Amino acid sequence: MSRGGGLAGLAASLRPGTTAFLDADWLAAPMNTRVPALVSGPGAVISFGAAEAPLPAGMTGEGAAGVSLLAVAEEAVQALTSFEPSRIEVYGIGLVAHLVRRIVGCPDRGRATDRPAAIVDTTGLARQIAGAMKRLDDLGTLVLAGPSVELPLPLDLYWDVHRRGLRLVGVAPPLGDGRSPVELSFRGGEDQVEPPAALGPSGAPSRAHWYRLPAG
Amino acid sequence: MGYSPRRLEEVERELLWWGWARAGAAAARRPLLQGWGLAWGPSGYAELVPMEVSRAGRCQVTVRVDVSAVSPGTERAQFLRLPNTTVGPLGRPGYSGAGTVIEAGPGTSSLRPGDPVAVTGAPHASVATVGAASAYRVPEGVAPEAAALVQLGIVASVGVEAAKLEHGQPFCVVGAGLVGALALRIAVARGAEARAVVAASRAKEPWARVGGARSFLVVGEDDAAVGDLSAPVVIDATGSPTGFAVALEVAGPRGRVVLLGSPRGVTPDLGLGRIQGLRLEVVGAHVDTVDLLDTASGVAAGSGRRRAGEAFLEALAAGLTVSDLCGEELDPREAGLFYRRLAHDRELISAHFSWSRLPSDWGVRGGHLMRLPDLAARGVEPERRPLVPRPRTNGPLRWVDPLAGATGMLRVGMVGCGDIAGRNAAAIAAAPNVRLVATYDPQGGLAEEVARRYGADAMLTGEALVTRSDVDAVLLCVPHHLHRPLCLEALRAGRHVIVEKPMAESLAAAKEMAAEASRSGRALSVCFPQRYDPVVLVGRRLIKAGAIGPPAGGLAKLYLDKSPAYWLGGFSSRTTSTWRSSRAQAGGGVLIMNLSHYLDLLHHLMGLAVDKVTATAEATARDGGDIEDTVSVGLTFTGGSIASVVGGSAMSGSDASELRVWGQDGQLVVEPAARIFTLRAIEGLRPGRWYTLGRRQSLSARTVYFSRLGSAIHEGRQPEVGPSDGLAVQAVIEAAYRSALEGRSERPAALLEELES
Repeated sequence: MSRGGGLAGLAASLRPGTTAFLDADWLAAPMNTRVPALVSGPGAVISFGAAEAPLPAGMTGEGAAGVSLLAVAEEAVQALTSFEPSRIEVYGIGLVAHLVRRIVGCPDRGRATDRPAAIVDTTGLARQIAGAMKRLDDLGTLVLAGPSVELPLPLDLYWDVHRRGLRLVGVAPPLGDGRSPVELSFRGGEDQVEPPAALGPSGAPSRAHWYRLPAG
Repeated sequence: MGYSPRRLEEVERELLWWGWARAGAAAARRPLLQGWGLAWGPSGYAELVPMEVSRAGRCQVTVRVDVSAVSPGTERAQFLRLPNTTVGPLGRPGYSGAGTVIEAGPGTSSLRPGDPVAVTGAPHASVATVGAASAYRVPEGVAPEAAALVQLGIVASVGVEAAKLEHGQPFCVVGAGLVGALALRIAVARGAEARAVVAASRAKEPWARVGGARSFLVVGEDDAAVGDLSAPVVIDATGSPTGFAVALEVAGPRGRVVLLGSPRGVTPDLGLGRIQGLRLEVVGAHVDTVDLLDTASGVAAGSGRRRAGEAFLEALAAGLTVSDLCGEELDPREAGLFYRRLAHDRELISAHFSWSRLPSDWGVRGGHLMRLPDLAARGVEPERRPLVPRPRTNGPLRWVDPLAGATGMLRVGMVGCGDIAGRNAAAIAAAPNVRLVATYDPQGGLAEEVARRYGADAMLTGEALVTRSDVDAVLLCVPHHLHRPLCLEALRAGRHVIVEKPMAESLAAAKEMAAEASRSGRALSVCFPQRYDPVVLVGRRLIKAGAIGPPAGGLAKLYLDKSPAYWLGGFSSRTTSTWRSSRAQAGGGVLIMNLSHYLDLLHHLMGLAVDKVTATAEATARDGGDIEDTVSVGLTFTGGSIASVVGGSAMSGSDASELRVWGQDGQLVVEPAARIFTLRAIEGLRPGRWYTLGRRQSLSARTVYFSRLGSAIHEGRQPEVGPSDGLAVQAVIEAAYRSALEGRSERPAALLEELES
């Protein structure tokens, strides 16, 4: 994990032989917080924050990171089964957001014509979550699939959640309970995930959905 | 009378009420009814005011309200104008009550006059007209206080519905307020298992236990146990932005957290990590969501509420216990007091206004469409003209003849016939049971003048007066330093003694007088006649009736411009006297001479002993001798109440006084214009309004003083103004002078103890 804040801090914290994998939405984490990352190798393990899991036999770190993010997206989609795709919006630009859109079949860009019945947020940013609450239709569902950074997330829950009966659904982070890559490997799906783009310590990310940041 | 912004807001409110009632009447094509209702004024206070409603129109019912339930959490938040609260422009709190239908409009075949009903959406008022859909027939056996909780029952039901509890499923409630308690009981009644209630204190544990909670945990005391609850369902009924974090802490993996209480402010942290880590589901549950669900389900809006209300009342009839949640019964006239208490008391679980406690002449009656707005009748604007109380036959405002029951005939010999003697002689002459029989003054002419005028004998010596067999009591109207020796002489001669205020020129002298009175078994009274001023008499009765609550503060101001003649001549022009400007003879200046009356009145009205005195005193005038003419005294009473006494006797152009005492519940002004303001339900007064306290007594206060003293002596009772009263004032005066001299606070009780030792 990062010693300092931001991407530079993350890069500086990587031990030799390790590689960090980042959803594009995670790069928007506040500068004074650590950037969330899945980190693999060299001991055939992959970690996310304090969670650590062995790599499945024959699976690369990149593959394990990919299926972990896919699992997050799949869990988010499970909370959307009762909604028409046209009434779902996804907030985010990263791999999880991309996969949710693809699985659900909702458009990559733009918004639903009416107020959405459900929104999946993959950014974890306060302003995005607050905006999603405002945008949701009455009794709507907000799926929280973004990264949780260490900063408090102050929100006024009265007008939208309480008064309009919104529903918030938490999606477990990568490597969360029941999300070992070993278990996920039996489900397959590595081929659904595009390869990550390379990311230098100075950032300048391309428009990829996720990134690979090798140590050094 | 100024048109302050606050006053203009009150005018605006009256116009709104006036227009609102008439718009309702026009829409219903029905006349008006007048009752009483609670209002929160723009100044931030609550009061009971006259209000009007339209009689029931189509699909409406008019209800005479017996009970209206207070929702402490919501109403506290609204009263304090916390974030996420709204109070309509009419400023009328309340939304749930119970009463009896007095009119049913067309289209309301299910309800008839006389039916007991619970109503939602009705503010705290003695009469309400609501849509028939908001009126629920109360099943037999359900008490009005319980039925009045109907809206809160609906709110709590919404939370239980959102919790989707299954039979036997464990759940926890965070927050033990009224809504939380109702949600707990409704959920238990539906078969769910109440694992725990988590609250901020133990104050409401009994209600949680009655409701079926297996355990009751307190945040900050039982944190480990709270963290171990791992509940599959949590109902957050705190209404606090920080309560949500506790609810998340209580929830277990894949748990459901129902946000039932309205968060009054920004939740400091959504708790994203915990929501995600445990895969929690958070669901908002506000009563409005029932209508949203109706709309989503394609059913008529309001049917969900209706179902919930009916189910709640049926549950009450079936035995759902809420009697302990109905809380204390409130007199609507004391709404101002209640809301002040509610603002501070977080442990108040519930209360209800009982509208039947209003006096019978405050009942519901016909209103007048053509009535003009009463622009002067709103709010608590202090500058507003006070009302005049109606004559009463009972209560503290009743007329009491101060001379009624006067007994005996006290024969008085007066020693000292100078300045104040004339007033005393006249007062005695007007008393039915006191008679002046003898006078004495070293200036024989003065004694003869008074004796001639009032039918007494002028004596040649003081000893001759004191030893006359027909003198029961000796009245001393002499310079202060002579009080002690003459008092002792009279007491030792077996006479009762009346001494002009102050008791003496010093505390030591006063103490000696009191001791001698005690030894002799004779009465000793200090003439503080202002206690018998009609305003003071009625003011004291009002204070004793609780009109101002426990006295918290007092203020006495006396601004005088005493002429040189007062100090160097004689104020009655009958004799020359200079003793008033001598500290040795008078004991002091404006404090002992003039403000002593006010010190006694503060002591008398507040009913408290002075614990500590801090004072400054200065002699500023050219002709004032060695006594102070400017003084400022701070009093601290036992228990912490305070008073300020300020005065001057050399304030050019001034002749003003002020005396007031106050408590949390009201304020009594004795001078300059006597009036009372109370938040309590006092017979004859409307809380939250100023009332004048007029003088209806033509008798002088001195006459009443002498007459009451005569009765007391005749009946063998202690005088109403006895040595202890005189000593109390004297000790404060002594403490004040010592404080001014030494620059530190003094304790009157310590000075008295010092003398005893």
